[in-house]
Amino acid sequence: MTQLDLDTTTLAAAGADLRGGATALTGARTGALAAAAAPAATGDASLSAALEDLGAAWRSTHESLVGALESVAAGLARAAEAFDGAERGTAHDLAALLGSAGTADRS
Amino acid sequence: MSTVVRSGGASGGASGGGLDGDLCPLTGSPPALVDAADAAARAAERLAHVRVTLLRVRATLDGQRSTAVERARERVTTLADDARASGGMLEASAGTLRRHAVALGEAQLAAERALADRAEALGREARWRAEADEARRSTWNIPGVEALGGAPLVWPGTVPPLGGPGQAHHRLAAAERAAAAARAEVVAAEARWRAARDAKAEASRRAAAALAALADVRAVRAVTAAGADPAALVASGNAARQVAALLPRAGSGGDDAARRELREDVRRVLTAHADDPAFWAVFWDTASPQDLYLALGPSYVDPTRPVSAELHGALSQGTADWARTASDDELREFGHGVVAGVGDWPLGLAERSQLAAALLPAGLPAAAHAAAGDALDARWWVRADEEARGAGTAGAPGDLAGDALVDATLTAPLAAAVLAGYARHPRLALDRLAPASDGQGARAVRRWFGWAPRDGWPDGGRAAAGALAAAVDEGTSSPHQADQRRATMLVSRATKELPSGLLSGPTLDDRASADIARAYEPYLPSMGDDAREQKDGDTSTSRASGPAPGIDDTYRLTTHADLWPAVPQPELDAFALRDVIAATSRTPGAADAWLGATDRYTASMVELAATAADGGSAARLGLAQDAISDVGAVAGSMRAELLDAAYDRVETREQVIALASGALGIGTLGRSTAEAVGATAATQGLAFLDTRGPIVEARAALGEVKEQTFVRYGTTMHDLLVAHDIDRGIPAEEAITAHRGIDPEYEDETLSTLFDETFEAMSETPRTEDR
Repeated sequence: MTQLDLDTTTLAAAGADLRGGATALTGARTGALAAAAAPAATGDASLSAALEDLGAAWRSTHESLVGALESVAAGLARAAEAFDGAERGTAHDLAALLGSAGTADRS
Repeated sequence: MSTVVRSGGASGGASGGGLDGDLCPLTGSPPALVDAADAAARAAERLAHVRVTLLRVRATLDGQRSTAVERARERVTTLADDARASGGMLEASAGTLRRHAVALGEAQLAAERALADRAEALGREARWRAEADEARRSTWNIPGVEALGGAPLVWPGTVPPLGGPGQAHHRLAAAERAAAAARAEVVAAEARWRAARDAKAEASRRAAAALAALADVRAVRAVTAAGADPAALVASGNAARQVAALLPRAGSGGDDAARRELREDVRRVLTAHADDPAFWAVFWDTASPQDLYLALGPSYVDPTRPVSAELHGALSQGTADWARTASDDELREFGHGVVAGVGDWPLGLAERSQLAAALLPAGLPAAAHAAAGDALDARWWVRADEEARGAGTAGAPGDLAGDALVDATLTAPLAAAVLAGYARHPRLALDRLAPASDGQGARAVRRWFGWAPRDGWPDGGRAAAGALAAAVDEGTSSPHQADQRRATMLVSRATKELPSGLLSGPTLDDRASADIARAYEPYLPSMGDDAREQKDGDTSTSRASGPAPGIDDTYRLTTHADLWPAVPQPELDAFALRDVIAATSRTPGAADAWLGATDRYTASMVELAATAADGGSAARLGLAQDAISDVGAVAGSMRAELLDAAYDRVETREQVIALASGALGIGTLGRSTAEAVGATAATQGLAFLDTRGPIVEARAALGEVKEQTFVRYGTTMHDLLVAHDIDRGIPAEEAITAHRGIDPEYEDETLSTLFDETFEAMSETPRTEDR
């Protein structure tokens, strides 16, 4: 059984990174682009519409990505917790925890 | 296939989307846009960091193979790809917003200056108008002015006296000139405002077009997957839409010269964008395969060859780029469309099939090849069944002649592309060539291997043979016996069909022959038995006397031990098998593939005899006898001159042993045997183990290729087994005595008789090609 190259601290940090990325992505979609899409900001109705379209087109991708990042982040946090006593886990153990964190597979 | 949310030029004109009132400050907030751009850029940076983290997590899963690990790896990889695509979109959006903020700021500043200038000029104009009015009123009571048309009464060269009527007229004229100048400045300032407004509108239009391109999620994914800059999307997307719009006009209508030029334009643009994933992402969302066939298929107006190598390459690369971001449903739709789009009309069908083949590179995901293969399969059976009904024949379904064979021949490039896809996707190959249902299995083998295009396969049979080998590999390497049995049945059925099908055309490409040999390698253990059992049958009608396709569930490697082959062995029609081997060993290169298979097989049997044959010397002898019998069946099927030529390339026993040892790989025997043979020969004085001694001496004495083959393989097995025993510490004399039964120089003829039987059974019956 192959041991992981990551220790529990690194696993926890990786989980936090991913959670932070998910948050940033949520903010980017709902905050930054939405603020830019306001007619008062663009000064042009077509440009506002293009920004709104952009947000709509990426919405499903972003929602899926945010959900999957949060799910993997949760799996990593669980792995960090589970391996804490044993110092290190196996790749299979980690895969099982990532797999149980939810589904993000695209068809 | 996907929704393109908004095309470029959404504002529809210089001021189509403007929110600006006439001669008002231009709306919009550059600081707000910069803030939004900064936020998007920060999110993109965060996503880049996320991606690195994901890749690091994925790397930790590298060390182990299991379904759970593979699934987790795939999931993390998909996330990393999505993070990169989203990050790319955000970065490109941020860049667009920043550029627009600058352009908007400049336009607003210019407009603001123009408005200020205009206000100042308007003030001056008003003042001068007032001055003019005042001056005009001062001239009202001056007599004769009206009679003189209002002109002041001043002698030329003199200044009118202050307060006099001449002075008043001069004031009026000056005020009117100044008012007119101010008016001109007002007009100029308004023009500058309009120019600023138009500049803002144009910048907005460009920004909207760039953002609309980024809204094409697939295109962005394709570009980021290729490591390219999403900012290039606008130009690529526009070019793709333009060329897609040209396709119908290139296909029909208009005058001949114009169409010829359009076809050339389409070819040129498609080729020029060969390495532009954004172009193809948009192109295949807009155009269909049929559109392409109609535009570029053969035409009387254009003598240019429809599919040059350059265009073929561009189409293949572009389709592969598009497929990277396509869903399975889209891939299936595309694969079906590639086949359905070629249509039924025979004129130009071959060229359309070549275009279609370019759209199905082997590396395309399995879903596309599955759908294309199913569509082509359905096309085949419709025509075959129609032909059978029309001819009123009671022949086997799938037997082709006439129009059905013409159609299959014309669409052979497409069929070869599908088969190449099967070869690249082994599970698909097994599912399609050896379906689980028995009835479907026979049909599949007949359909894909039971015929050949009239002039042979365009690729020399490589795709068909590769697909067969891939399906067999997938089945034999599967842990599930059901898969192994499907592979066995595939080879059993194919053996009946190949001689009159795939192998009935021109000689196969050597690589195709090698793939056929590879497909049969797992079934070498039973070939000797098949040849011997059928030898006593009615050889004049050998094909009819062969067994029906099936699986020999009772087959054991030797009767002296309970040793079973690695995979279920097929019932093989020995004479059809002989035809298969003969047809796929016609060149030295092809013959080497079969001899390589027999070498590996012999080595594996030696390893088994040395390490797993608990039945003692009887079991060892039994395994050696079985192996030599199988080798005889294969070698007997080959042409003597090719065997002779092959043996000339292996001159010493050392090389033969090295060949066998190499084939053993990391097996328990292989590592030590070659060294043991040499060491033993040196220390024990065993002349026959002198690996430097040439085999050619024995061959010259025997003179016959049959004996050469027997000595070659018999000697190899004997030497390896003796050396193995010596290596284990058994005295040399004892080891030699124990293996005397398989020593070609001393054996009691049992071994050579077994070899002769199968060799002669396969070599002496007239070959199909000779009959």
